[in-house]
Amino acid sequence: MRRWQFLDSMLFFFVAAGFAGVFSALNPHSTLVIESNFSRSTSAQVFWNSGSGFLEDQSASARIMPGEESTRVRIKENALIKQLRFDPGKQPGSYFFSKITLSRDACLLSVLPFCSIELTQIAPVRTNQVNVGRSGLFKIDASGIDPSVVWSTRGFSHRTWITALLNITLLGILFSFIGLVINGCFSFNGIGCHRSIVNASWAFLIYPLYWVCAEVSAQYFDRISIDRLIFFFSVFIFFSGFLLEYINRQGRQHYALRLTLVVLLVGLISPEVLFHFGLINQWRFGSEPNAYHWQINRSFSDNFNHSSLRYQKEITQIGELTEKGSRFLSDRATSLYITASENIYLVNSMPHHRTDGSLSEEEMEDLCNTEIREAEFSSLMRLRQVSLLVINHDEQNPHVAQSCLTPVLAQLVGKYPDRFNHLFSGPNLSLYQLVR
Amino acid sequence: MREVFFQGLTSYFYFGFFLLLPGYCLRLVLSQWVGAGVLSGRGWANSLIESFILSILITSATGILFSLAGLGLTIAKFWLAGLIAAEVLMYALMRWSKRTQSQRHIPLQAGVIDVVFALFITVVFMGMVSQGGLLDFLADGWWHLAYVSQIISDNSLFITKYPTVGGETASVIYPPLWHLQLALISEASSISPAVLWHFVAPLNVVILLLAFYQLTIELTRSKKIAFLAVVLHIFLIGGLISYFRISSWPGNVSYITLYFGLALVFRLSTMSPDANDRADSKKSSLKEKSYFYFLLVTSIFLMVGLHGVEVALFLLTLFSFWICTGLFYPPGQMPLQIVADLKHIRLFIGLMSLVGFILALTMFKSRYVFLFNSPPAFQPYLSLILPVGILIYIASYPWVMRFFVGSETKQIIKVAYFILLGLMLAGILDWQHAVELFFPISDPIGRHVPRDFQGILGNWLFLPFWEHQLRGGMLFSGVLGMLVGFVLVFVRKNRATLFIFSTSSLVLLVLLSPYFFTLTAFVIPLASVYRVGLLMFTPLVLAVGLSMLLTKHSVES
Repeated sequence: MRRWQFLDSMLFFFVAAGFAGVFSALNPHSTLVIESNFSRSTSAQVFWNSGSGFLEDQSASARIMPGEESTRVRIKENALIKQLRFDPGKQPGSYFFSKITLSRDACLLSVLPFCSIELTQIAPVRTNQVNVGRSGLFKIDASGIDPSVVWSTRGFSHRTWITALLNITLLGILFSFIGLVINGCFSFNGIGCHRSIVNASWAFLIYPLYWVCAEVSAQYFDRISIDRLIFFFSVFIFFSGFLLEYINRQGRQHYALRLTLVVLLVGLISPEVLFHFGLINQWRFGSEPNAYHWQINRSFSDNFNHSSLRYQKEITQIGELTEKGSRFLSDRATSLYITASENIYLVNSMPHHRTDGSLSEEEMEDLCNTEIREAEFSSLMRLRQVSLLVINHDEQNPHVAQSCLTPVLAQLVGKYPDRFNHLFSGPNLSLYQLVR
Repeated sequence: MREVFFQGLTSYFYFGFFLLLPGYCLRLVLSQWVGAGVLSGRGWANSLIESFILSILITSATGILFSLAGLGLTIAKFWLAGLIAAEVLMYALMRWSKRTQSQRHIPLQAGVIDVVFALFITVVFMGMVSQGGLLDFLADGWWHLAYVSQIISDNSLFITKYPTVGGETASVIYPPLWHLQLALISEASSISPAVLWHFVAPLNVVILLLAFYQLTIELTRSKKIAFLAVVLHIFLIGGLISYFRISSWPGNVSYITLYFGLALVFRLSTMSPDANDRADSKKSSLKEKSYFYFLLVTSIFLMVGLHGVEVALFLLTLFSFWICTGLFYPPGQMPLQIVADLKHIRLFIGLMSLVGFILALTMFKSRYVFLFNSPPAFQPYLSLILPVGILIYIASYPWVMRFFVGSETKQIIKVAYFILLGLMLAGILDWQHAVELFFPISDPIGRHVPRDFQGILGNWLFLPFWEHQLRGGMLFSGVLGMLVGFVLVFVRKNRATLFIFSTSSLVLLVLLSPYFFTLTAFVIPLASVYRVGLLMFTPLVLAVGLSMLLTKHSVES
């Protein structure tokens, strides 16, 4: 082996060690993967014992949905985990699992038993209010309201540096081998390719930046488990960059740097593109309302059913039947829908548009009370110069259906029909005049 | 549902009549004066925006005059029809006489990219028809619709009752020109304002994208980059300006004029007549320039009448371009094109500041009296002194360097200057606030939007809540755009990268420094200062950045 080839292989090994070290350092925790098949949803809790027993602050909860589900619970513990306790739910009954696996996030390649342990394959060390059995699926029969199963994880738990060392060894050998193959395939004529290797190392940036984004988004949503995929992709970009740099070694076009930057740029904006394409249903980095943005899965019927468009004809009819400038009471959404087209005024405005004539927050609370007396209601309506009542019966539009006011108004109208003069009824809207 | 949908589709006939046709016809008439081949040479996208802007000008002028004269708005449609007929007649007569027609011609350079772009814009328009502009949750859009209804009810631009809740009010409580457009269309078509609101969004989105396309072309002289920027604009989440589903709101319509106004500023400085041109060609060029000045004044007028805040954003953009340019070119070494840009920009800033100053002393006197008696201006006045001091320091760079031309100490002075500037900027930024963008704290300081707090010397300061429509735009394309924006100018220095650097710096300082945020409240209402965030122009930054990465020579210098 020529000296350059040996040096290049060593350089490949050190780059691999860098890649593997970064991955191990950024993933010090473990993940419990619960593959279940429940008949009802339940809230499971996982406790881990790192020497001081099972404590509430050393636990994590997860909602497990009915049917075949795979739920991931992150176990944020740097110390050795000696035991793991699993509470499947708070109700007696049977809980079925195809697999419960505890795995180290830092493991690049799944080398058993260093990296994962299938808990459903080993006998629990302790159980509470449960019988554990296996008939195709792993089954926990809970007889009480606090069922739990405890497994020992001693054989699995090791220090992070052992996993890091394993990663460095595996990836180092792989890189050095690839380096040797490349050296063998290309005729380097005694010229080392160390400059290309160093230039291609910009790909180091990809995984840490992805990790930062994933951590930021994890505050709002469960973390997406594509870490290894992104990591191996960064390795792929490293080799692509290396080849580009080597092929164009005469010029100084910084192809590897450019390639990495393009990947980073496109990668960082990709959640926004996926959001518009409906592949991410909620904005992952905060409380950005979906409604502001176009999304490919939104249709005209969504807007029609959740806005005033659905009642437009009825609103026009109400406008024709009422005196211009009169005031009406309705739920907030319907109030806004009507004033958007007709010349009658609401009293139930949005807080920042309130004026002297609007209902206050306290008055709205009074009106939402199902026990409100008719005299009290009439007095308030007189005070606010309200002469009309509009009841929206729509149950599809959440802004209308969730209003606390609509059932109260419907109840009052039903209870005191002589106090409300019925003027109009459409498929959704009913209009009444208050009798003084 | 089908009935409402088809009613909505018929509204496009009325949108065409009110929002495009009057301006298009006026443009035809003016093209005979400027030179037929001159205006058409700038392409269909430009024609569409100009028609839109001029139409709003015509309908607004009609609405204002008819309301002032007490004639009511119901006859405005007949007046407009008559006006359009007159414009067409005038155009025909001018063509027939051919006396005023210029021989100057700008060749229309249509290529495959133009066809692809046109098809792409058509697809966007069709897609947006189903997305619409009527939000399925309760927001201020309904208040704007009630304003439209009130204008229809009063048959005047000047309302007599407060929208939604009724009661006495001032005759103008919000810049009313966009409400006026919808009121005119609703009255003429008998289509409910809510339906119009839903169906006008696709039109506004398309015009916004076309205006952005024009701005990018003026800055980069590249259709490919402009196309890429438009695609990114569609897909990126970039704060208010990217909220396509609220494109029917007055603020978003005003962004069209902001983009186009900026495009016109840069277009005007690239129109210097060639000394070798013939006399009639020079004359035509001058006429064309006058026409673009007219369009620019129209755009500024519409920024005021549609929403208001955008005039301040427009000025801030130009001001930051001006002030940053001085940092990058030694005295006497500035390229001619940038010199021409700055000449125009100084003129606009000077004129508009003068107008703003006069308005602040007259029409908005009470507001400014209130402002100078409000917390941002309280003792020890640091909220004013510190940021103004830094601005003066930055602006003084070319003058400082002029003293050291040819001197051996020039390089040392330069390094010292930038180290001091870096220290000042690092000191004036709120780093905790920057961290909160990524890791929000559950109980931020302050009671208001924006949040208020006191500095160490007791001065009142303000900062925006990231939750207030900023985090979505910043994470992560915004942050990325800002970082890329700072780097590009060091890779290649030209009009586009300077523009990008200046706007990125502006946004960084206003959103991260409580001092600059508070200072900006003297030109923009405090609750709207966070809108400076939309000056990041992230799609433009990333399009230029990507093209630099993928090609060798992407942006003309």
